[in-house]
Amino acid sequence: MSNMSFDDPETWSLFKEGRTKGVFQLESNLGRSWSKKLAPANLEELSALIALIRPGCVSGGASVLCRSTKGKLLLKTLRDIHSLGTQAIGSIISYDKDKDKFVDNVVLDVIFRGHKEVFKVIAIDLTSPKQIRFDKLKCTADHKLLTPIGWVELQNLNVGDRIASVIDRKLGIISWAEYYGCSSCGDMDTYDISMKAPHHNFIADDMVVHNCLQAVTDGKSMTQHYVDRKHNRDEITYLHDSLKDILDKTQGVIVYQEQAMLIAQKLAGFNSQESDVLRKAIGKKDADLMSETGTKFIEGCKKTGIVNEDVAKEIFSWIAKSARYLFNKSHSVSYAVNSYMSAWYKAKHTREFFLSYLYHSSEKLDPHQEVAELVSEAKLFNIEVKTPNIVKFGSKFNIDKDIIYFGLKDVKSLTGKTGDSVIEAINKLEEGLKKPAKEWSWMDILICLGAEVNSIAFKTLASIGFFTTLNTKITRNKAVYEYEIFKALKEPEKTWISENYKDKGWTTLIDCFTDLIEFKKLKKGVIAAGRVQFIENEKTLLANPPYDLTDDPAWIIDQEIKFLGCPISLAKIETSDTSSANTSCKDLANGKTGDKLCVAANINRLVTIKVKNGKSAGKLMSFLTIEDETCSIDNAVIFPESREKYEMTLYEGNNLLFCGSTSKKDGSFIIDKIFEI
Amino acid sequence: MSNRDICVFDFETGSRNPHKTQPTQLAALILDGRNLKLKGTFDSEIQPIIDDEKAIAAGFDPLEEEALKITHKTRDELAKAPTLETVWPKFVSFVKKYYVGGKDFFAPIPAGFNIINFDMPIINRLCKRFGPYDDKRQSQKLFSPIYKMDVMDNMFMWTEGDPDVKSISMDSIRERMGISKENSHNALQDVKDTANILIKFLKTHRAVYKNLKIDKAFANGEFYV
Repeated sequence: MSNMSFDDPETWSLFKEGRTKGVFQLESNLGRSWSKKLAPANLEELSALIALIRPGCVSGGASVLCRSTKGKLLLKTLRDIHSLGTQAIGSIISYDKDKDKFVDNVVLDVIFRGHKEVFKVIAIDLTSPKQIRFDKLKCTADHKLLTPIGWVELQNLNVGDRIASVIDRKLGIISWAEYYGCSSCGDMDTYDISMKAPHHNFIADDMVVHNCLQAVTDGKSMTQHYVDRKHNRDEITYLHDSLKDILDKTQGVIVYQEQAMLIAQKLAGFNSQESDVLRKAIGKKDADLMSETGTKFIEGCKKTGIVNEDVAKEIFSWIAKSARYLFNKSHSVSYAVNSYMSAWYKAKHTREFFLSYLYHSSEKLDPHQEVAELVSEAKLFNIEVKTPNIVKFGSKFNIDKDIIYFGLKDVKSLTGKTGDSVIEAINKLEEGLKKPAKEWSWMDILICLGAEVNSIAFKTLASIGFFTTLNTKITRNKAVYEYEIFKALKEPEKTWISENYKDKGWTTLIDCFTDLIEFKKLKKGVIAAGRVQFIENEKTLLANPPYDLTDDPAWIIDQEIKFLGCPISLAKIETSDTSSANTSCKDLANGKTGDKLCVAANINRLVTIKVKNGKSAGKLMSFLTIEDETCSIDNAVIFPESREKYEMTLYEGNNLLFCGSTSKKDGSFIIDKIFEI
Repeated sequence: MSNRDICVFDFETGSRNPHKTQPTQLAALILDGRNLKLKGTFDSEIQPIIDDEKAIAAGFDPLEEEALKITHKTRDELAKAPTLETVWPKFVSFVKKYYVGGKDFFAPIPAGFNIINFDMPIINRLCKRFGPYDDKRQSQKLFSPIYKMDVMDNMFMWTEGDPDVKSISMDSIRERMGISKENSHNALQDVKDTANILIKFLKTHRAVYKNLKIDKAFANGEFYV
């Protein structure tokens, strides 16, 4: 990376286009989405972005209180919402502290935050006659819970503090349970929720917890303020002109703790030590210390006279509100540098980048999801990913002539020792048959390898097309079918076949069974006669299979999703007639605009929300991630009027022809009409 | 609900008692539960025990001449067909191809004409004998353990209020809906016809469903009984 520069246009275009899968700090849906919206063009902007979207975490097993689109309250685990998509729920329940009631809120995203140490939070509601114990919630030490004095991180809670707990979900009754302590549960998968303003909380395991740390003013998150100001959609304003030189690099938005320190130094005459106390108060979210520092700040402002008391109060109140998301600039810049480095590597050594991420995908909590996302994004970079084949395979993901191949051990069912045993068996047989695996015939594979590896491994390999080569000319379906027939033979029959295979040189299983029947006929007795009839029956079924053994594309896709995590050989849309399409997903991803665009694509993800305001209030609209053979796009939208017409066709996995136009505002694809294909 | 596929199937048999009859043909179609498109076809004749005495000794009904006549099969032809113990595993493999995500719970929904009374007991019997069988539930484990669609029941629901309808036999329905009776009582032709009728009804159901007012239908306290 010695030749890396921080002004590489290709690298910055990755951020601009939101192609940041695998890029440090910005690989989640949320990170990708904000990266695209902001389109950072330098480290300063990247650092601010990373600071602004920094989240907290709750364990994936937490049950979150949601409301279905039909209005029913239900509990869903964060892990489920993440894997099923937010369409699995209608809305999420938030607690409106001011009105002391539950309100429906819109989930924008559920973000996987990786493995982190989590702590079980224990609290008891002593006011209730039953003394309800709350001990299910597991969250990171820095996650915030609601207390009577506001949001407090778990690590800053003291035994005896009160935390908001739900004692009646239906009626939305909150009780202030007494915090009894917490205990480490080790590392677990953690998630957070991004949701619409103004209620930035949700109910997890009957406790009111904060969501992603995104501050909000004027109904917009600070990230959105930053983005709108950067793109000149909003005017950059300051509470006082004196703040301009401190905040101008961050679009007038306070992003870093250091900016708060500089404001205190400039307006209130704080020295370095005093401003560091303010930083600590911000960093530790220490309410008492903040209050004490606030008094000093206002007094200091009076002395310097740069701003009057009212403005001083307003500025400090603004700093105090911002304290919950302000981030240390040195951390953020370090993250930004790391983020840029990973993006640079992705831009300059794309194949190696994807290979590396795919290689390590097994270390992820959901390896198949990771593989699916990486393979989908690889298409945008024209990188081909293929299934392993007996002609060309390795143990793990590998690259050959610019094509990335799955390794045998990257296939579900073959990840552990089974994968090793298959590789070992192939190596051993290459010696025994005195020819490389790529030259094996189907009968070599069926009779010789079929006897060496277990049934699940063999059928898995057959199902992903491992044995389908120019030499074998066997379809995946037929390979599974013939293997099952071969496996139904008795051990002595299989042994006879193995022993005679070299001499007889059978080219089909039917020929093999013909000889086996003759051999069995030489034996006398009822059992032998029964076996002859059985093998003759199987021979009949080999010659006239009761179902079609050609490879149906939909079945290939099903099998590849099952064993590899996503379709590799075919895209789901390839099972439908796409001739009416005039645009591909890649065209849209690359910025194609227009108003008569038709895209034939598969619905990969469907998020449905209830519209809150306007003439369509109360109606449903959907956000879609659609995918064709070129790539997937996650910014397709269908508004209530159109959605009502096509409701029955809108489900994940369906292939449809989407017709519509691109939004002039944000480039999203607005669907007007849908045709079944 | 419709994320499972549908397996429309039919047995031709040598007698009428589903608990003792010998299947002579098994055919099935797999329909995509969402868009109702055809995904796969299975068809195989099955060799029963031809010798009546041996069939009785094995606990099965002997082949009835009337049944053979209806299904257009002869004993000689059936003697050349593969036996049940070889055909059944192929049928199981075929159905399992359509388990959504490979999970038993998302196995195809069994469908057919009069399957509840006739074909499902045969499926249960064969699953118990050859697998897959759920010992705890004492039931087949090949199809969806919960749902089933019997087109005869479906037809009854739609026509029970019509005094002009005297019969809902498969042949009566064929006649009413304009389906040829040629090749009827061939399992494959029967499942094709049944599937067409089922698709017609499902499409009608889906169109009507949007206008059904069933949410909170009794919330006003006005019950029928």
